[in-house]
Amino acid sequence: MTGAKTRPGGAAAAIERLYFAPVSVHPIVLCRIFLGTILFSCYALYAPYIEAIWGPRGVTREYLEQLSSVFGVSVAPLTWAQDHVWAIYALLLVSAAAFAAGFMTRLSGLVMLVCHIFFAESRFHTWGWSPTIMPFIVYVVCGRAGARLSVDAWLRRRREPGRPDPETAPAWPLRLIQLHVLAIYAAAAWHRIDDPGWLRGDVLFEVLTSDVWSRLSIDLHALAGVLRLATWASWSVELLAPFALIWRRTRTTWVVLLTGLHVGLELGAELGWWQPLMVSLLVVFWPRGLARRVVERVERALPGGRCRLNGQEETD
Amino acid sequence: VTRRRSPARTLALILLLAYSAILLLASWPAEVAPAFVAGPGELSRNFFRLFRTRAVNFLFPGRGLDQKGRRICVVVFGLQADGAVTRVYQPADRCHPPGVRLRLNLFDGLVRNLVVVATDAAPKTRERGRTNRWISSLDGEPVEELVGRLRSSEVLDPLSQFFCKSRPESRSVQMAVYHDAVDYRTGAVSSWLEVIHHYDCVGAARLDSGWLPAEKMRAAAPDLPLAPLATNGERP
Repeated sequence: MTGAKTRPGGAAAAIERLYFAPVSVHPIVLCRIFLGTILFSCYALYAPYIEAIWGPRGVTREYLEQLSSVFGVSVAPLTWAQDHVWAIYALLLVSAAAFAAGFMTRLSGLVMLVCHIFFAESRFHTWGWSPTIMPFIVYVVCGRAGARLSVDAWLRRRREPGRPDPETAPAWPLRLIQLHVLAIYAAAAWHRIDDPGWLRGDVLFEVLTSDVWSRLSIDLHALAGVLRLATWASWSVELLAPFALIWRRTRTTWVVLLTGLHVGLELGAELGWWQPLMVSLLVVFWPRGLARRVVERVERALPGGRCRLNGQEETD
Repeated sequence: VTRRRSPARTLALILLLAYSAILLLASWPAEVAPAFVAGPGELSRNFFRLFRTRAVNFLFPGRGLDQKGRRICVVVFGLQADGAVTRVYQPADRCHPPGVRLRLNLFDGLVRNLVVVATDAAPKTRERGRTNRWISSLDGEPVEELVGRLRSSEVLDPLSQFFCKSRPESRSVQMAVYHDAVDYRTGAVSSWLEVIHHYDCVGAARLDSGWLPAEKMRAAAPDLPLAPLATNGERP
């Protein structure tokens, strides 16, 4: 291969810039912290159920044996993992904490992912967020997620004092997160356009009163009309999200609207970790510079952090 | 002015574009996709399933407004050799939904989800998704058909096997569901308590007879609210 020629103003160059131009490293750093925290929190809360669900005598083992004996599926790796479930569980918690803290970031992210796959394989216990989070972990691991606000960055500063902290990284991991978030909203909202429940505006009432999802055991029947309007409003926000998040002039408004939607749903309904996941991922659409300011502010507040004063980098 | 792109970068760009295309195709719902996109879209979603992950989720399919399941409770009874009926499993909230639920009890959620999966033999419709069939049986299929399908479902065999092993003194286990729903159009409350799975712990086989009657289950669990909350149309 001799390589392709590209003109700076051409479409190929634009695509190349889209994926490879340097972009701020800060959004993906925040994604790392949020995703690691979500998985750590999720599995820490699973502790009382590990033995009964994933243990060697747990429910999942019975299902694996059925898969093996009735359907002839090879389940040996999973049964081996179940025999060592507490070790894998501990490894998952440690790696999730390390990933959130940015310690050996890439390795801890991959270990966390593999451990999560083992638990997620029996996912009839949870919602769709569990398999959906996996590609996002991969994107973040591929990015320079440990470049800032991390133990790795702190160790690097000790090793190489005076060396500036990374501000940018190739865009493609960030672009994949952005594209995937757009895909999630497109799929979630647009499949409903011929759905009677959504067209009638019933869904929010259903979710908030359902015995399965609702957090509150209260009668919302009197508010059914308001909830119908809220259903249409929230659906509109999701329907337009794939476009409004791309267009710079509407992006910030839609980040605020979508964040409000997810926070509202989290307060009213128990849907696993969907809402924290989506709010975390919306970081990649935050207004320009906001993620950097957040990262730098936290770095300044941490002992041994590095701050930027008058254009010069100094160690606290 | 032109510049030469390195072969490695060209390859990376091709891979990124291909992946992005797969992602976009996967996100395209069949409802708005032209026919020629539907096939590749399904292939794209299968690509992600290959890696045990999911590209997108088609969340919250259609729901009905008028019928609401307000209390659905799974209880497992064990039958001992002397004919005594014991309780093997009950939800952590003892069938009393809490005023505010912070986090779902994972094991209870698992048990109920498995029961929902067991009802999956029925065709799903746009009007009523799988979960909703279960929640709102008032407006769905007759209770007898739902219960009959559950009783013959192999999905619940491993779960019953688990309960057998957790209580070795049980000769058989019977999984029962108490279902209480209200029709908001009429205010009518409907409830039923039925065994949905009977499993022989000794022979490790599903049984299709000998189901406990509701009265016997209520007697074995007098502290659980396995009777209607209200019968006069009062809303929960």
